[in-house]
Amino acid sequence: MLRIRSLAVVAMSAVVVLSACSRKQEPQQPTPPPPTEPARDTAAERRAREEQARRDSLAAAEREAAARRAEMERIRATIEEMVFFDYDQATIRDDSRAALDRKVPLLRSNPNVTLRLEGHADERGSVEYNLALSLRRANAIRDYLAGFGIDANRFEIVPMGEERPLEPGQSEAAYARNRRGEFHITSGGDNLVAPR
Amino acid sequence: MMMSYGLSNKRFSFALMAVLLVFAASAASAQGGDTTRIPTGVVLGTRYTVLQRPLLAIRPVGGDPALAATAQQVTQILERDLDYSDRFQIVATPANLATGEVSYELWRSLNVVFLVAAELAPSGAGSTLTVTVHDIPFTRAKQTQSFVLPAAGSPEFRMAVHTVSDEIVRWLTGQPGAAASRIAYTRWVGSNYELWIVDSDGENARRIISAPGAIYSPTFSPDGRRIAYGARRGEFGRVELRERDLVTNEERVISNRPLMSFTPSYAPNGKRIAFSIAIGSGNEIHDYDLEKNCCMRRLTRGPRSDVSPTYSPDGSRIAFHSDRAGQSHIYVMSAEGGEATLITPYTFGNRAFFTSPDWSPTGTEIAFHGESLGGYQIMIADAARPGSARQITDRGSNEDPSWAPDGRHLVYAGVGRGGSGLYVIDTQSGRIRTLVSGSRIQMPEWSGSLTPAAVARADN
Repeated sequence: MLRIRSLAVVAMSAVVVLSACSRKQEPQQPTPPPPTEPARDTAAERRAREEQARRDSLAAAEREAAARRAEMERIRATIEEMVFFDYDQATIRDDSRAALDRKVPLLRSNPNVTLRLEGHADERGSVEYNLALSLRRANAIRDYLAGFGIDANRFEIVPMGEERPLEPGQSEAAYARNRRGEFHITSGGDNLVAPR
Repeated sequence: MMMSYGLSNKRFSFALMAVLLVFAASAASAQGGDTTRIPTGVVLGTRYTVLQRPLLAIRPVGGDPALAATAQQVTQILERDLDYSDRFQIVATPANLATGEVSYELWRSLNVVFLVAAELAPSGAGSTLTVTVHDIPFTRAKQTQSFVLPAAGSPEFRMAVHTVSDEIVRWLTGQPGAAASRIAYTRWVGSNYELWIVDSDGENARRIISAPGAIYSPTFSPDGRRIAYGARRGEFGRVELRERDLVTNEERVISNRPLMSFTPSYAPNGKRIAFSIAIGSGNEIHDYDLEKNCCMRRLTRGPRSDVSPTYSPDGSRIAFHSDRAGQSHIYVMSAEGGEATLITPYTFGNRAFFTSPDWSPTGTEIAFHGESLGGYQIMIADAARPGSARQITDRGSNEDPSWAPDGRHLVYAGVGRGGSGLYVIDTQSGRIRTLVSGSRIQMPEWSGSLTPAAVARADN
């Protein structure tokens, strides 16, 4: 019996020593009062609901932003869509007219947008004449849009001649792609809005 | 023999039908038309009369043995220049006739008409070249003259020998030569534009400018010392007219009006310069006083494009490209502006495209290129006979002719003769030689005759 007691003392003192050691190493944290079960459930649910709502609104905002970006991209693409010309001509073609008509409401709803309007030519003719022809093409586009009340000063006219072919090569298909007007938004393009 | 491509009655009625059909059809098809044939009013002149050219021999240049290497160079340059003049048939000198007294009898037996004999003597840092041209049939020395040449290694050396070649041509034909001259041209290398100058024999090609902005239609001042050209500022900037001094490399801007100022042409007296600027919805020819550095004048009026002026050699008239009639044609007006006369053949209903005129130094002809045979070909119109032209090239596609100072040769940019680059054609014999090979070489411009003083200066 005495042996058992002394064993117990040894064991207890060992526990005391061990716990003393561990106390020294990590200071004990104050234990939070255990919340009652029903209260904990309500708070968790609320947090989950709030989290969900936050996620939903983020996703909605994300969707909205994506839709907005897509819309702005569509507006930008429509404003910057190239138009093409016939050989040695600076008159606006029917298909080009349609493309320019699509730009009009967007240029109206975004009055701060300014553009670099480049005229281009295919390589046939002479380098010099093509520079002059590309100017007439850019001017014809500007004048057409000005006819809808778009301020001509919003366009920076840049005749490019045959310097920058869209497609290299000497085929009629390549030439047709190279006779064009290009639009590049130079300012006011950060917050493009659709017409109301 | 020349071939005429006039309209026969049958073809005319067919053309009339086509015109009516065109009226019925849409506007787009009105610009159709067969471009694979020679345009109406243009005569194919690529079949040349075989010209009998006098036989000419050049003896290897002799003289001081210490100058043997220089003498060999001089011989080669003279022989090639005289060959390129296309006025003589060059005959090789037989070994037994290369030195010693000129044996008129033996040369006559070879049917040689002219013999060039020359000797070099040391003179300062360079040498003196004494040239005698013998008239073999008349058994006499036709002309003798001494020329001072700079040292063989100096940059002026080759051009000095070219001036000797031109003197020989002048003695023998009474006509100016084209050896002492240069050609300026543009080259597109990667995304950069370059301005180059090369001697008339294709030697000494050197780059003058390399820039990210396009370079348009360089042209020499009458003395060959300066060059005017259109240059785009940056990638999307305006094209301004600049003038560069080839001796000092100094540049000045002649016009930086909005959009573009380009296609310059110096008046023959060098006092004014004509060029095209963007104005209204199109382009108009203007001129500018280079001496007073002021006084821009507008010379043309119209809604479309008037570009590429070129002065007649007397400075009284200007030929230029205009599409005022709905098609691209060459017109001539007074150098003061005003009414313009159509020069190139015009046929109602036929698609035509004529551009890049250059008035010959003789004053009688205007060269240009026109759409023909599915490409562009070099053509020449008689300045006094509007409405007619002859086509002088027929292979590949050729553009931008510019007259040599001899009024006989043209340089042009060509594609499709087994390559591309600059070519020189003799408008009388049709002989073609390659001046510079390479792709994207454009807008060649031949200088006037370079005087020895200008030569020495320009090569500094």
